[in-house]
Amino acid sequence: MFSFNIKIKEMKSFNIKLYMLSATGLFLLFSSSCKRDFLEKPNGSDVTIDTIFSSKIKAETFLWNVYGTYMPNGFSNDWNIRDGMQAGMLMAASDEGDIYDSWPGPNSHNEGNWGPQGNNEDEFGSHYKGIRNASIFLENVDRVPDISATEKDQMKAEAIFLRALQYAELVKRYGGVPLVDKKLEATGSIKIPRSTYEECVNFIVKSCDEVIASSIPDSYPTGWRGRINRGAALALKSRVLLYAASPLSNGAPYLPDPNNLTGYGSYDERRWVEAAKASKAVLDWAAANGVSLVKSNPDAGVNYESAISQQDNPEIILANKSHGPWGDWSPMFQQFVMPRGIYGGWYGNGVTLQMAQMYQTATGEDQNWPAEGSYQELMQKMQQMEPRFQQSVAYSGSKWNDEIGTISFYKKNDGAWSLYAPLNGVGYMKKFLTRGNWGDEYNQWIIFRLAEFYLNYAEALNEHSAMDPASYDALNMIRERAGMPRITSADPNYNSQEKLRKAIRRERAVELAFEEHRFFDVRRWKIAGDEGVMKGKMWGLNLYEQPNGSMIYKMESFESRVWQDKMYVYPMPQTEIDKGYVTQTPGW
Amino acid sequence: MQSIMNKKYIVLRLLLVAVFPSIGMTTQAQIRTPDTVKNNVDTSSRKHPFGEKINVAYGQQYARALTSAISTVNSTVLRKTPATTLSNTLYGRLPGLTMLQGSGEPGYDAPSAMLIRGNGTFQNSGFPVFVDGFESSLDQLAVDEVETVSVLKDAAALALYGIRGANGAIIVTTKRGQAGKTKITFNAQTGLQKPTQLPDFVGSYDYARLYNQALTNDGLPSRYSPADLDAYQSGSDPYLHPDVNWYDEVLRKNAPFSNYNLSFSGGGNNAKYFILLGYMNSKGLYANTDEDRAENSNADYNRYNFRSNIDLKLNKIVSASFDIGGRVEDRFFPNYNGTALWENMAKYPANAYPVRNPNNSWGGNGIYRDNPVASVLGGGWTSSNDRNLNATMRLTEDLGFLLKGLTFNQAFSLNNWYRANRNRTRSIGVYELSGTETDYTYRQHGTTSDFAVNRSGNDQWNRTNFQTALNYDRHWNNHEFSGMLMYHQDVYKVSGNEVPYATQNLAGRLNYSYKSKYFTELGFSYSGSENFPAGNRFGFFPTLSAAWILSEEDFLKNSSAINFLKVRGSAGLVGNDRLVGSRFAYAQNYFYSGGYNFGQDNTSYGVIMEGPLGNPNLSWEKSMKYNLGLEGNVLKKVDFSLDLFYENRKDILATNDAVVPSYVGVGMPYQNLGRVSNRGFEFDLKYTDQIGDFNYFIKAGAFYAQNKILEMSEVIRAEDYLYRTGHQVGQPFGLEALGFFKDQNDIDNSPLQTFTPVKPGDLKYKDQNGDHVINENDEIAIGKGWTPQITYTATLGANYKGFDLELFFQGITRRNVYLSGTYFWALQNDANIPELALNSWTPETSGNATYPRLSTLPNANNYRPSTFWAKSGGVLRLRNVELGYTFPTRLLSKARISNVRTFVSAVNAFTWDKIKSVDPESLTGYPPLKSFNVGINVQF
Repeated sequence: MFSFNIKIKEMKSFNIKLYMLSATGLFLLFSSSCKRDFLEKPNGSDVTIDTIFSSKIKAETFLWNVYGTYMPNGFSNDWNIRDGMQAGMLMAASDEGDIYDSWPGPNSHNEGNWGPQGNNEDEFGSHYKGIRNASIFLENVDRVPDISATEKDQMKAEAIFLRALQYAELVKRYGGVPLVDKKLEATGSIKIPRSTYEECVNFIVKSCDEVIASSIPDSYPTGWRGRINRGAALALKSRVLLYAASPLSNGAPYLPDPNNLTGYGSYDERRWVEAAKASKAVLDWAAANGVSLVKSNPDAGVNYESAISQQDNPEIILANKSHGPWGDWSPMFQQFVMPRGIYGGWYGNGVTLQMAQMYQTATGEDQNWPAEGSYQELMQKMQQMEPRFQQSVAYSGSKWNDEIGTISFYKKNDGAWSLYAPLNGVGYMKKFLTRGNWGDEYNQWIIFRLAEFYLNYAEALNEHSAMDPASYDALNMIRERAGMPRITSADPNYNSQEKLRKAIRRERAVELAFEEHRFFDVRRWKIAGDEGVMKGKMWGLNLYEQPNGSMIYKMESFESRVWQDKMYVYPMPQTEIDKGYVTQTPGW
Repeated sequence: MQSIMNKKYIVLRLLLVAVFPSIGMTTQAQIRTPDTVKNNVDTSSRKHPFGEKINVAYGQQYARALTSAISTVNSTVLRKTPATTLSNTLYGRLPGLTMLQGSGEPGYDAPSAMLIRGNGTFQNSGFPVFVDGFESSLDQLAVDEVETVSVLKDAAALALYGIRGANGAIIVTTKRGQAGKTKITFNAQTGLQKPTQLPDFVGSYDYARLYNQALTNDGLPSRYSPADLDAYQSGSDPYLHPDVNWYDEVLRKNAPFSNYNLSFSGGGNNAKYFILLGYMNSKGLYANTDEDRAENSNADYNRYNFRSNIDLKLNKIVSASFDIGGRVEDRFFPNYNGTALWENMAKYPANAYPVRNPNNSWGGNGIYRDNPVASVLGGGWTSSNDRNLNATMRLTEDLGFLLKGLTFNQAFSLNNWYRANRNRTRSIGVYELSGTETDYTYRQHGTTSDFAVNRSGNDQWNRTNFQTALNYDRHWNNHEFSGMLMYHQDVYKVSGNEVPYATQNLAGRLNYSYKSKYFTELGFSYSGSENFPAGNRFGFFPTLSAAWILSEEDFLKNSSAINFLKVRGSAGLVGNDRLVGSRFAYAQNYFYSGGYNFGQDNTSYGVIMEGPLGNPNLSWEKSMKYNLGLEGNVLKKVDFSLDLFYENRKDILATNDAVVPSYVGVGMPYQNLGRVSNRGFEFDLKYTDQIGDFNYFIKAGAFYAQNKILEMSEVIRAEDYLYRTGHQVGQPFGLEALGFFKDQNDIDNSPLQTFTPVKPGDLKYKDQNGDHVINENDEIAIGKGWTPQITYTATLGANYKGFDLELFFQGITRRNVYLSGTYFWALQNDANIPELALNSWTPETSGNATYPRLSTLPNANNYRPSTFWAKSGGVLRLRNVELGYTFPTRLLSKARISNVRTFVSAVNAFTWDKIKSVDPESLTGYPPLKSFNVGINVQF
């Protein structure tokens, strides 16, 4: 069918050459491009699971990712809901405090306006991201050629701990959750129902025991502070067992709970024994490894402040150091945490009268707060309060820090508020904050510090060995450091198991104030529903300028809070329920 | 010689087998003429009944024989809209091409959206642009180097793009020389540009007064005393109580624009050329800038275009073309991000601080850090220098000696772009003024540094293309066959991506027509994309189309009313390989991001994160497109065309995140789960007539596209009306605002609004599900989306004795805009107060307030999507009006000038819309511009 009727003579040899040349060129071009798959992805600098676990330096980088995925941080940060609560801290969603403005996150809890549709205290799925990262690390680290066996053992222990920490953070919020201990693929069977509360606790404790038995160091050089040491595993075990032994889970469920998601279902005193043992183990480990309460200064208040705010102080077992420095607008942090008018603060956290009443006077007495009185009287009463109060609460007429000086807040004669006003409570939370400024000093969020474990020990011991002298001793360690008088079983205020329990709970509220303990403690003690704790009227002391220029204070309620018992344990997000894999928490 | 021929034949055979192994040799009989690479074989000598040829994918076809839906516009039309960016000349000019006006910043003023036949997908709806057959950008071409711009719309038009065709395509063809006397053309135009609309914010007195009102609303103490208010009102204290309109201070009234193009074209039968040199300059709107750039610079854009398109007929068999096109672009800007600067001008209240303090230092403070005037004038400048060079060589061999009507061609194209930056910058210290008029104190924020010059931030891409094709074109009696088979490959390297992008395409079409009135075409593409895993990389995309010229039939042939009537239809499959998410999403990806801190110095250690899971079954979007067209001419005066289309898109990417439990702990991969349908029409009507020497035409058109999401793996929602599925892509959702709460009693008797506790004067919403709680579950679909569903145009044109006048109107409708953020939300995040908030709610104004109560605090109740913030997004613009005068030739011939035309024109002279305070198509940032121009065209 090809017609060859062309007159070849008409073709000059030039044409043929040119054509042959181009045709040959094209042919070569084709054949070369057909040799390999033209569209195959060339080798680049892509990171795959194989490259990550091909060398120590990359494997470490992935371990830091395990650390960085949802490490607890109580300071609110950049509008997210992972850290603290959205635009606020947990203390403002417990009886410790309140935010004056109506919009920040903690209000939703105080108003009872949260649930499966939204809970701006936690990101359920982000915990599992951390859990998955730990599993990926554990499943692959053995492949890395240039890490010694001991070091692998240590790094695995870190991952095992971090996974257990995520489960602990989940369990104290949601009760029993799906236990995932391997990297799940998207295909195949991925249905993992919620485990019981007990199974979860056992998983965490087992993980902690593995870490404790591993070659993980007891301490690190200063350049590696913030890495997991053996103490952290002991500490996590102590905390989890204390929670497990507590009334919320160790006894009859608060609501019918056929799947034992919220607790064991019945009481067993041995759980307190285990909790006490685990706490004692932390104290023993601390004594052997130079971890001790900060006591170096003659001023007890200074010691307390240092134990919280001093970077890498000897009391810290584990701190999250990744929050970044104090500073200006980004990420939104100082705005959310500083009092109105100080270093860019938008509202600050008020400390409730209920919380103030937890503190004693410096001499160990209860303070008496009349419903109304003069400013002088208020100042006198405030100044009588113990050192930790002075370090934790900024009341009108007290000094913030050297740069800001004394702050005062009151309602003026003309109905307007003074600078720094208004707020809900008796004053602003200043714990954590007085070293903050516009500068670039780093802050930290302490996850475990030694003081907690004296209190854990005191509490657990008193529950199974009522009024055990060691329980008083442990409590007095904390009181002494704070410059407070010792308590004894001879004192009629502390001479029964019940009175000691009350004292321990009160000491815990004071010592660990605003550190994300109280929010959960009132739940595990099952007292959140008591009037004045997470329910009913919350109180403050407000100052009013008088026509004659003097000032008086009045005890006033600023809000009434809503509590329902189902709130003891968080609901699963509705989005998870809708997917059909997990069941809902009782009551929701 | 015979042996040479044999060799040649063998080589050819080898070639064909090597390239197209799947195609049997018999197919070659149907392969035909022009196409692929622009046809360089001179076909003008052959008489053809169909008149004009128009550009189609990889070739040309006769307009009357076309079976596909293509709209084309000629550059003489585009030139009526003076614009720095070529795509800005296309508004309303191409039926089916929906566009939204973007920023007017010189050098960055491309339209903010371009869609062909609306959205067929809820993922990436971008489309490729081809210049002379190779992918390139059209934006920085000079209008005078362009011959036509076409939009390819239906499956038949897009068939050859296969895996890349589903979102449509634009093809641009540059000018080429015509045989004949050398033509020299000089075009010059210059004009002044102004913003279409600048927002209005309140002055100092109103700001202070309303700020106090907002504080009162919040239960907080007043900030401004009566004495302050007096000072703002009287203007007695311009330093401590300033009243600054930042727009007046930063901007000048107008900015010049000019454009000059000189071109030469001509040639003989063996060589033809088109050569162009162009210069374009557009300056920014900033006032008081330094022409020498000693201290600062305006936003300034200079562009030099050049092009040389040469066609050679080397001998009877081989023709070649050599095209070189390119440009040099110089941009200068103040050393401050343009978007942020405009945001600051909107955000900073009039009383923030004086522009300059009494001691002539820059005003400033901690909250409003960056004095906008100082940002423009004080910080130096940044600049970029772009260079683009595009070179294409084509060869076409007439293989008529093998088979009559057979041609073979090859093309090789290089296209590259490079950008270098050069900046002369410094930081600026500003001073916060306080104290009293007799005793000022200054607090410094930041320091003024010395100028530093750097040349950082180089950027580049380059593209290497190769194409080859066989064409065949024969006709016997009433039968005409033509065919084309081509191969195209493209490698695109761009800095920032160490892995180049690659595409491969084997495509073709077969045409058969009978009696020049029945036409059919089969188009296909076997094309692949590297976005997909091996074995899943290539797809086959066929289309069928046909046309019938009814007016050639006996029953219409002699009709005096219907002069031309044609119906055409097409159906076919095309794909979209533009993925969302990470590249190579078929493989699992890990990436470096952020860090975690250890140690006493809080040292940050980088971390590697796990990306979403890979999906080894990943595939492209598949689009079935149907088109029905009707075009004709009635009474020799009315031209009309109508296209109806329907598209069914499936395998759109969506994640399974909504159904996979989050305890898996990782993002789910994109999967081919989504489906969207899309339908609409394009309609055009033109009436041409004359009264004596007065010629005129009226043209009107409209096009419409509406889509619907059929499936998108949506999360389970609490209420049926919350589902996005079933609505159009980009459907806004929000609460239905009922007005403002009148008083506490009103609040107490209304459903609980949960976003934040409400006060009288806050927005009251409708409880859609009747659960007595207002939350996200009460959000319903409100209004239309941001992209318009309908674009309509009207053109009125006339000429009379050398004078010509044309008015071009373009409008968009079935669109809503939603006001949010700094420009509209008074006092939120320390923002200013826009004038629309002047009539805010107070107990006194509760009856007729048009804005919620002001608040200095974040207010999640009022400032969220709701019908309150929804406004009609309809716009009608007088896009272009031009009045020209062409001098009589008898005057010019003595000066050897063949044609002179002068004109005055205005772009965007009038805009009609419902927003008023800002441009309805570009709500924030550097505003779109209008311009008033004069110009001259001279032809020698």
